[in-house]
Amino acid sequence: MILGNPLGLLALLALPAIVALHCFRRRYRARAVTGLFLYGPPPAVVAAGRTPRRLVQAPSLWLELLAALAATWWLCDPHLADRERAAHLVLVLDSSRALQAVATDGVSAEARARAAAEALIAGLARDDRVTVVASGPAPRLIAGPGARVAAARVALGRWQADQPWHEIDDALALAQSLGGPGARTLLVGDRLPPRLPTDIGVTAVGEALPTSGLADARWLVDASGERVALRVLAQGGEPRARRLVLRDGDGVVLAERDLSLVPGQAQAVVFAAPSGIAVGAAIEAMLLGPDPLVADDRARLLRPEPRLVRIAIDLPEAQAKPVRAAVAAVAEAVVVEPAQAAHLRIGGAATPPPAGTWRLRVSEGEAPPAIGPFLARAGDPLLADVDLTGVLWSGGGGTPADEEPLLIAGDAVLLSARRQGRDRWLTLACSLPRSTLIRHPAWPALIANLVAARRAALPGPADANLLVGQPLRFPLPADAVAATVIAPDGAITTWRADASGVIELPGLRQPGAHAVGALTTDGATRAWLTLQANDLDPRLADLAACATATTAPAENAGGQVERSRGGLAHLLPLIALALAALGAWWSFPREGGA
Amino acid sequence: MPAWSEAAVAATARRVRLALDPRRRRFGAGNRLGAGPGASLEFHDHRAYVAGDDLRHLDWGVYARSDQLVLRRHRVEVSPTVEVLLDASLSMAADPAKAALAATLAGLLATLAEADGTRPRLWAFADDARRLGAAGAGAWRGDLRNLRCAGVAGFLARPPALAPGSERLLVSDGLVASGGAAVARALGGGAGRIALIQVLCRAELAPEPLGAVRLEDVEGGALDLVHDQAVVSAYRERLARHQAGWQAALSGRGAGVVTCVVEDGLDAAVDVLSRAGVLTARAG
Repeated sequence: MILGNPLGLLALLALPAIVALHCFRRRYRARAVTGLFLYGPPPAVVAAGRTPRRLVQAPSLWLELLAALAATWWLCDPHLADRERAAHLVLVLDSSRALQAVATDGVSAEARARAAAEALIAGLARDDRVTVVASGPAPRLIAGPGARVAAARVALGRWQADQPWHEIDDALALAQSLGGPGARTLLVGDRLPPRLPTDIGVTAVGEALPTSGLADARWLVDASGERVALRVLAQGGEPRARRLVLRDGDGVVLAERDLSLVPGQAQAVVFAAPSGIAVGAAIEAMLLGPDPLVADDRARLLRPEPRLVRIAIDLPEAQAKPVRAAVAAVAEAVVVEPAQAAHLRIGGAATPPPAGTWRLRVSEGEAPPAIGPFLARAGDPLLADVDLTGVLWSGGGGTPADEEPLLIAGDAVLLSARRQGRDRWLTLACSLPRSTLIRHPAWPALIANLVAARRAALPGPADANLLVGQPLRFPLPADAVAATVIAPDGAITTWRADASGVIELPGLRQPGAHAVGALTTDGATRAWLTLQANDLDPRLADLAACATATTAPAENAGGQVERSRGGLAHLLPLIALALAALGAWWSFPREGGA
Repeated sequence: MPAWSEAAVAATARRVRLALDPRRRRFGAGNRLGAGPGASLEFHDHRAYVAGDDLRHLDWGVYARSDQLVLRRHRVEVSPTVEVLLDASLSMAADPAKAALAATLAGLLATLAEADGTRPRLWAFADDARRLGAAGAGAWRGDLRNLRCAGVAGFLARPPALAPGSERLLVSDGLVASGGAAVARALGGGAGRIALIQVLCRAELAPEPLGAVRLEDVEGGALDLVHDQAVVSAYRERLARHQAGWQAALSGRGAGVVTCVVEDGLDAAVDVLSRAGVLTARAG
């Protein structure tokens, strides 16, 4: 007899406790009366303490003892030795999408891996145990730990190799922790991983195949216009020819190009953005031609919305002129009239700008001129790569005391800023016509940095086309506090913004279109934008290391592990416990005791 | 209801009769002298003659001596209605001897009423009120013999149509949680006289300490307690207040509360009833 949990024997302490309770149980003799109301209300306290009495072998006593024994049975899990002979097989299934590659015999590595895993499970006895771990960016336990063979078989039938490229190490670590020292751990995949722990066996069912596919896909918007940029990579084998095609949502070919691919050399292909595609609409890039792995032969791209910064300049003409000249050199900015809504307002200090508007106030005065040295606040993007050497800074009018200095010369604060909600208010203490700043290369750099910072703070991501797993960080609209992301399979995740209204996504896990909604302060969610994720990792298509091989664990402990108890062994003591407790509960008040 | 002792009743009836109050009954012919003038041979009083009086009642002797027309009046003969109200709730069956004595006393009262030439009306109060012997004279004996105690309503059941001015004798243990006043209100309306003949066991009158007991009321409810001297004292105090409540409710309307102890038997109960004025010794 072996006890699964010897500490469960502590439940036997309940037996003397029950007997003691029954010894001290006060027994009331029943007596019929006719005028119970003459005895008044029930007494609030008993008249005297209890004294031990002769133990009465009432049914409730035996039933309570039986319940305690049943609880002990369930807790300590007694069983015979044969349960010790159960084997525990821990399978790690490489779930990379690379296993979708179809070999020369027409069978995918995924199908072969499933068949190999089923064969391993089929070799087990009925009562043996199986734990199945599917690898991925976050490994998943799809059967077990210690599942029965039938349950593992069902889980294996549902398994799919649909994960983006990932390291296998996390899944192996999880498998080893679940299996323990007595389990046999096997990796089923398409290759023999390097530096594999010796106590893990491998069943590799892959085949080294030459592949080619898309390694990256972008829809670029910049000063030179809109372009679709693709990177194609061939791996293994001989140079080969493929055709790259752009199609719209209706399947109409928009552009195409024949490619001659050299293995190991990425080829960049740039198309002019097709006309007639609305903002937010999608096109598809397809690599035509024979390829074992089709998962990376196509990409879907959304036409991004232009992220232009609207700038209103509200300054006297002498000051506005150099500002306009500097803004004109920045492609992502457009100048609007002072009366129009703007993302950035330069000048116009009389009234605070509305929410969502940054402000740069120019403060003129009679401060003494400064030629340096200029000390800039480290790390602030406004002053990145701004070299003020040789600038004669003059005519500053001071900065507000509640603003944080960003640039100083001596005791004079030349540029300061403060946060106003999610916006920034800046003050430039300088007389532009009198200073040499506007004729210095630092001036357009400063304006370009300001526009870039404001553009980065515009709501929404800089690019709606992403790679699977690519981290993403973008601001929310001014009235939103969180964003909901609906994945292609319908899974919904909610991401809260930080104090500056920015959310950070660790990366989209599934390829396809993800709908993003803005969760506003009043609790409503409105549709906002769409993110497109493409699984185009060049490592995914690298099948050069794939092979068909089998290695056994170097330290096979025989796979003998403690087998968890079966369903009947679980239920029997619990049923006995429930019945005994129910019987005791029923009989106790009928025995005239308390 | 356990069989009541008809032989004991017959023997007792030979030596006692009901002590009824004739003043409460002023109409009907019977064998008891009423309080007012009537047509019996018993002299009542004289009064002056007024026109229209029956000339047969003129006292010619007085006229001869005083030359006054004086009317000689005689007492009326009445037949009072006796109603025996027997509590047949479950509390009366808690002790068979208690039920037997209660039934015997009810039978005795009805028998005595019959012996006085009245037609007694006997009511049993169980779940509801039911007339015993409604089938005819003397039928109440069979009904009383077959009576079974049931229910918890007792005297608080919906009251029947009782005869106005009747002598009402309640036979019960009187252990009604709502008190005697409620019973007197329900059953005492329009009564000539009303009295409670309370039948109690000695354990109900003066319980002894019992230790840890579960008191289960035969009419429902239970109470776990240690039945010690303090509990007994409190019980007796509450019982005394309860009895006083009954007495107050029946005060001035007859014999009041007459308590008969079951263990003392029928003869002792008859003595108690005689002392209380419910019964009186039969002459001769």
